[in-house]
Amino acid sequence: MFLNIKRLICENQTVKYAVLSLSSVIGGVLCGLVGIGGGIILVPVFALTCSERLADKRDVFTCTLPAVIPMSALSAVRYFNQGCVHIQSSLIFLLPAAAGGIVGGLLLGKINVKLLNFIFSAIMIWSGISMLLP
Amino acid sequence: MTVFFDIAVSFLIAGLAGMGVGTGGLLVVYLTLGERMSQLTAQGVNLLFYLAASIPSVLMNVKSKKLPLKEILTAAFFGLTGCFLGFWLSNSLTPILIRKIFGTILLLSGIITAIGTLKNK
Repeated sequence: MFLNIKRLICENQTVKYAVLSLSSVIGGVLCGLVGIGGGIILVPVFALTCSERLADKRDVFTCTLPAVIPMSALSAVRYFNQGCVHIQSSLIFLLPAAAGGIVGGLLLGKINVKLLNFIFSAIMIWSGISMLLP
Repeated sequence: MTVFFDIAVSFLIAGLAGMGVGTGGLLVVYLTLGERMSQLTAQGVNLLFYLAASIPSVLMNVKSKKLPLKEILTAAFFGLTGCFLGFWLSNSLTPILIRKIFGTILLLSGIITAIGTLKNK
């Protein structure tokens, strides 16, 4: 069943771009509404729609970011204009973020991310429940 | 101590982003639950954080890759359109409801990531 859907999306360009467009709109809505990058939606969609060209998960990630960055940038500008972002107080998070991004980028492809994925999903489940509690 | 903790948390979450695991909005959780920041401010900081963490990784890894430009441009165009819809929605919803939506997204993506990782084992 899933393989048939995957084949349909990969082989039919109209279906492929319809899926990509709709998912991008949903990713954009989440980005504008809750301030997440949009990669949560677009990484699996790129993995599905570009599977013939992007065999490696890391390639999918690298190719998804250029699509997600404009969305994050637009949302960041909007939050800034609304007075929700204070650049000075954000610097304490941004400088280590750039350093962590560089280290993570250097490690990309060199480590097995399976264990990290497990830890990450456990933290997300715990975080989700914490946010839902009053 | 708090400053050191802020730096360590940012570095670790950004490291995950750079490695392709994702950030999943974890900084928002840390800022709202740990730092008691308002939901909207935490979301704004998270977006800047995401940009700071992901741009270096893209610059380092994108050089040697053949990008599917048509797909990227399509996603960026429709994604930006979606952003405006998201802005409109965020003006209509209360911060508490936005927080609940955010929590649900985290919970669902955590479950999906866990199932996906188990299946690929």
